Amino acid sequence: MAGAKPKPEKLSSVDYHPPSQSWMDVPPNVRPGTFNWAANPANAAYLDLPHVRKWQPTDEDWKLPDNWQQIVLEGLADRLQKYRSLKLFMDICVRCGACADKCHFFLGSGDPKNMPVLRAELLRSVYRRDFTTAGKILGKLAGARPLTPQVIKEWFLYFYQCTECRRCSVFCPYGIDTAEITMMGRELLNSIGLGIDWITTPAANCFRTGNHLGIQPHGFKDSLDFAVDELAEITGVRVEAPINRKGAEILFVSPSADYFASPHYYTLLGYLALFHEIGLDYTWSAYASEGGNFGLFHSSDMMKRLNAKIYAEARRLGVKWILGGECGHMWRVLHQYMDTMNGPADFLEEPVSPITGTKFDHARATKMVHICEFTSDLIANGKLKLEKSRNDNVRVTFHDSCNPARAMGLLDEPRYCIDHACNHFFEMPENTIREQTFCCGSGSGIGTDENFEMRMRGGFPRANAVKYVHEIHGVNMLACICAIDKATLPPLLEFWVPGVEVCGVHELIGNALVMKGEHRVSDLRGEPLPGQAGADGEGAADQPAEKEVSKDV
Amino acid sequence: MSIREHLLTNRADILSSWIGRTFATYPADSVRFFATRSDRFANPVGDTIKRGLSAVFDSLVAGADPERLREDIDAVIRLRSVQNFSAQDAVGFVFALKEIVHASLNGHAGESALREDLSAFDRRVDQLALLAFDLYMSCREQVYDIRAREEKARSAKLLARAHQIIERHATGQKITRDDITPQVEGGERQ
Ligand code: SF4
Ligand code: SF4
Repeated sequence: MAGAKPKPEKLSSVDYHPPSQSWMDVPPNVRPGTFNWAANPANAAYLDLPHVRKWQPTDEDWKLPDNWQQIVLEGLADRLQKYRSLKLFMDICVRCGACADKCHFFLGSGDPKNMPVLRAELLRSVYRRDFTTAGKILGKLAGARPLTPQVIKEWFLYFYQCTECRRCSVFCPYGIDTAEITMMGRELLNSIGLGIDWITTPAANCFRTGNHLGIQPHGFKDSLDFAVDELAEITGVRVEAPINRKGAEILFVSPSADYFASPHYYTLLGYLALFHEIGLDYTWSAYASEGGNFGLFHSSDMMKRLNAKIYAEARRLGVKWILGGECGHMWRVLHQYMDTMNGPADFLEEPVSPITGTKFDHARATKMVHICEFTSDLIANGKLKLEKSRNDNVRVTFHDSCNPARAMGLLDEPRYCIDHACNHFFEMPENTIREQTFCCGSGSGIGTDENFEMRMRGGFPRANAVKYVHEIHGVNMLACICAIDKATLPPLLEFWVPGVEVCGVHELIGNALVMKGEHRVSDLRGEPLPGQAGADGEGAADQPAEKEVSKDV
Repeated sequence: MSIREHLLTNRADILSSWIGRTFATYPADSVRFFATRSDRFANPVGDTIKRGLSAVFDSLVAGADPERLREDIDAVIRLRSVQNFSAQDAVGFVFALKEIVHASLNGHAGESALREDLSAFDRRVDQLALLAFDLYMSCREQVYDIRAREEKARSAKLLARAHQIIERHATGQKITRDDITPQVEGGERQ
């Protein structure tokens, strides 16, 4: 075919744009692997939730109560009155699209209904039809639609495909917070008995025993005793884990997963070692034995009910202030709601570190300090002897968990801790960390195994950035400060970036911490301790730190 | 001109057609974004597909071995194995390459000088499709495997404690009331 000039098919001639379809005409798809099971009726009843019944998303008929439309519309009217922000969010979106490509579920799935602007439209379209004149007259032309069972199914699927992470709101010029719209959507769904089990059951357990798994006080004590024994085996130092000790200076509250799940548990060992080493006068509570609050993912009432135990226990035990562990959404609840919801905690004092004398005046209202703030203050004041080389087996990157990062602005303290606990720390690309961090894809109560495929989609943008630092810097450890992250990032990474594990910041601190009288040959996971100092204190303590934080990607 | 030369000369056009056809398997409103946003972290799906298919294309042209092809296509198949596709839609985009290459020959495909060369290329694409299907299956299996194991990690320390009690029982040690009182009531989840 000499001389023949084959003309390649041009991009323009390919069917590049599949037929566009109005989102309203695309029916919801209840695909296995992408939704959550309905609430267990016994646990829903335990919480006095309305319209408890047996149903599943896979059923054709969701057995909605007879007057379900009335309940939803009245509920919406009620909330529009109660929350000015909701009314504003319904009215002011100009559909500029700035948020459209910022949601990890959209980025990982390509499903347009996961664009935050469309997620909000799911609710807004109903609002328009029933609450605006244009919508009443023009209907679909004005983007309005009636509330049908189909719409409710769509709400159920897509309000549980939002992790309430608030990444979209960072980019909205009007500050519209789609997470709050999702929260309202979930409240309305719950008002007609459409809750999911992975939120309802932990909430019921928490209401009954104070923690998500329903561990009773003696089980809680047993778990901590077990950890104390293990820590003694690893370090040769026997620490105390005081529980319900009245008159202690500080109440410590951490997510319950810290004492029963892996890899959370190594973070627990880290806390115990740290508190012992600085001689902290503190106590755990067997009742406030959960930092997490699945009420946040259910309704504001439920959030309030579950949160109340923290102040109640602080009062009962007579502590001065509260220290909180590595938890994600616990910090959103207490930073944004606790003070007005269950406070003011005027029986507590403005937190002051008993070790350094630092006043945590930013916590003046809530009286609760984040452990990374507390520990970085200890480091800054030279109160800890940290042997970085003991973490030389790990090359670490840090995942900003959505709630501490975006809701609380806790960006530098965890980095400061990591930087002082290990020699090899590498940042992920700038548009995937700090305020712009990508969610794990499993937060807000949707980290279930039945929802696994959706989680893999939603977590893909996060994993993609981890993969990058894994490939260019050999990163093999992802540190984070959230219990949900610690549970859901390991499977995420196993699927997308094998070879990267997950740890807590205080696991790194616990490994590096040189304790008086210690004898260590293994790290907190029982693996051989690199560069270990041994009982005689020899080691590489004075090696200069190799600074490898790369931010220029 | 051999098929190989043809593919090399027209790499950009053939490749962008193939990538475009693959994007077209997503909803219209997403395609625009996947195709145009170039930041690899802001558009991980678009980037993974572009990067993956480019690597596969180059390996095909270079006559790389199946192991290499498998590595090149892994990320794309892995992605599609958890997205909203049936098995055939998840891997079907591979066959589009044949169509695109045939069309790009603009009626010369039947010429005897090319015929054999072209059917060898077609066979390579078929092999690639089989490989892709294999990978798809292994990703699905991995999904079920990880799902099954993650539940254990969520109560790892409670399980360890239970094993400790069983061991103590087996070695004839005393078991206290606390050991056997159910410590967990209600749900089985975190
Ligand atoms: S960025 Fe804000 S105003 Fe623009 S579409 Fe999104 S929610 Fe609406
Ligand atoms: S809050 Fe997060 S999950 Fe929800 S729409 Fe916004 S970016 Fe997506």
